[in-house]
Amino acid sequence: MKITKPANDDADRVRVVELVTRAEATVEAIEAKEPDGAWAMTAFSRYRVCELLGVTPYGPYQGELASAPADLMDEAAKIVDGFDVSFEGLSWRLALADALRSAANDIRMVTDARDV
Amino acid sequence: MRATYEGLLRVAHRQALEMVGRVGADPLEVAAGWTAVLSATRRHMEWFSWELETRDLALQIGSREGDPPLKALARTVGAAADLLATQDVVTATAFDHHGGVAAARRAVATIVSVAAGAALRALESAGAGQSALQVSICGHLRTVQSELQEIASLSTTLKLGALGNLATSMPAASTERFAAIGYLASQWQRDHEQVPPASLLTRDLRSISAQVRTAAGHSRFLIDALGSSAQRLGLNGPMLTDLRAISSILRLADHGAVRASAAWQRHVSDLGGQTSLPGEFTFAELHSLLRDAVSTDGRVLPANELIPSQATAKAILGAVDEMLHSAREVSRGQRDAVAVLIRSGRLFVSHQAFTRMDPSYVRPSGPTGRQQGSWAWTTRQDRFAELTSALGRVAHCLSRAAEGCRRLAGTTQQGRPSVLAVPAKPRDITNSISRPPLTVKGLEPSRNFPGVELP
Repeated sequence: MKITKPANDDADRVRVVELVTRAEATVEAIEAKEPDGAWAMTAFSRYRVCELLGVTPYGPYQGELASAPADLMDEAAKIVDGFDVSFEGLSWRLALADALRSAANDIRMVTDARDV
Repeated sequence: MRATYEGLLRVAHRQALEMVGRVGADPLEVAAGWTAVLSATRRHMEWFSWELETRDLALQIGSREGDPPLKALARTVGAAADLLATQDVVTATAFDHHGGVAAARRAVATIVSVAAGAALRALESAGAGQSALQVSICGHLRTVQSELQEIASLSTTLKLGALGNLATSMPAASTERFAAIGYLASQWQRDHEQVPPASLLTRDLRSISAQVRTAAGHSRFLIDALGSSAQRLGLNGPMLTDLRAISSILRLADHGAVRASAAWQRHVSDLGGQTSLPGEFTFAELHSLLRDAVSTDGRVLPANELIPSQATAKAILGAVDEMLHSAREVSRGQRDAVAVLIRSGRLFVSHQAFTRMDPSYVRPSGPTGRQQGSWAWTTRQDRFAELTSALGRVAHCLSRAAEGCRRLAGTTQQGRPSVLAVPAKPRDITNSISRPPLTVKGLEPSRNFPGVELP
C-alpha cells in the first residue's frame, strides 16, 4: 500500500525528524552501555517510527544525546498530530503518531523496569 | 497448545465409546450421520495407503442433518485426516515408520467399527417391523464393521510412535491471553514463510531483524519473570537451571541482533521507504498483545503480578515456546534469504566499507547518480561477513533457546510442520517412500508370511 507523505509542513517535518534521530541515537547509546538490558523490547516500535518517517540510519549521529528519549518521541507525536495532510496521507499521519507514542511507551517501560 | 494426532485419536475413541446407546433410531438420520463417518474414514485411511472396500450407502439422504454423535465422530476423524494432510516434507518422515502406521490404522479401524456397532444396535433395537430401508442400512453397517475388524486384526502393534506426535501447523486459536500470543506468533511465522526470499528488500530485512529482536526480547523478559518466581511457585531446581540457561542464550542472541542491525546500516538494496510485508502487520498485532501482557499503564508488571499461579506459568511457557519456535524459523529464513540475495548481487556495500576491506579497490569512475555514488555492487560473500555472521549468530542462539524451551514445555517430540506447502495427496507420500499400495483384496501377507510385519 503506497502512502504518500505530505509535501508541505517542511519545517515541522524537519523538526520531527530531528527529534526522532536524536531519540534513536540516545537509545542506541544507552543500549550499547547496557548490553544486558531489556531494550530489545523497544526495537520494533523504534524501527516502525524510523520506517514511517523515512529516517534511514546510514550515517553516525553527530549531535548531542538527550536525557529523556521518551519525551522527545512524545513531543514529536504532538507535532505530527498537527500535520496538515491530504486525505491519502491521513492514515500515514495516524500510523506515525501511534508509532511514536508506542515507542515512547516502550522506552518508558524499559527505563522504568531498569530503575526498579 | 497444538493438537497432536494421538490426542485427536484419543478424542475419537472416547466419542465412539460414549456413542453406544446414544445413537437415535431414525434410519435416515443414522444413515446421514454414518455416511459422514464413512467418508471421513475413507479419506483418513488413504493416508495409510489403504482403500476401504465398502462403497458408500446408495441412498437419497436429502437434507438430513445426521445423528449428532455420529457427526461429531466424523468431524474428529476428518480433523485427524487433515492433520496428516498438512504435514510438510520433514515431519512426514513419520510415515516411514511402518509400525506406527499399522498401529494408527488399527486404532482408526477399531474406533469406527465401535461406532458402526453402536449404530447397528440402535437400528436393530428400534423394535417393530424392519422396513426395507432399515434392512439395507443394517446390512451395510454389518459389512463395514466386518471389514474394519479385519483391518484391525491385521496389526498387533499399539504404539503410534512418531506418527502420534505429529501436530497441527498452528496452535489452537483462543482468547486466553497467552494462548492468543502463541497463536499470533505462529501466524507471524507463516506470513513470513510465504514471501519468496528473492523479493525481499533491505527495508524488509531490517524490519525482520527488528521483529525477531523484539520477539526474543519479550521472551527473555518472560523467562526471567518465571525464573524469579520459581521459588514462590514451587518450580523445581532443574527447571530453574534451564530457565537461567535459556535466559543467557537469549542475551547472546540479543547481542547478535544488535550487531546485525548495525551491519544493516552498512548494506542496502533500496532507498528506504515503507515495507508492505504481511509479517510486519501481523507482528504489530503480536507486539501490542505482548505489551498488554507484560505491562499496565506504561509500567512493567512485577513478577508476582504477572505470574500469580502455576497455571499462568504453564500458559506463559507454552506461549514462549511458540514464540521462540517462530522466531527461530523466521531468523533462519532471513539468514537463508540474505545468502540468496548476496549470491544474486542484490545487496550493496558502501564504498567506504569496500575500500576498508580491500585496499586495492578502485571506485568506478563515470557518471553516477547521487545514491549510486556511495554503494558498490558485489556478489562476494566475504564482503558481507559481518552481516552474515551476525545473522547466523542470532539464528543459532534462537535455535538453542527454542530447544530448551520446548524441553520445558514438554513439546520436544511434537512434529511441527514448518513450511506451509500445498498439502500433498496421499499417493505422493507413498511414492516418495516407495511402498507398494496395499489395495488388492485377498493379499494378506500375514497369513502367507507369518514372520513379516505389515507395513
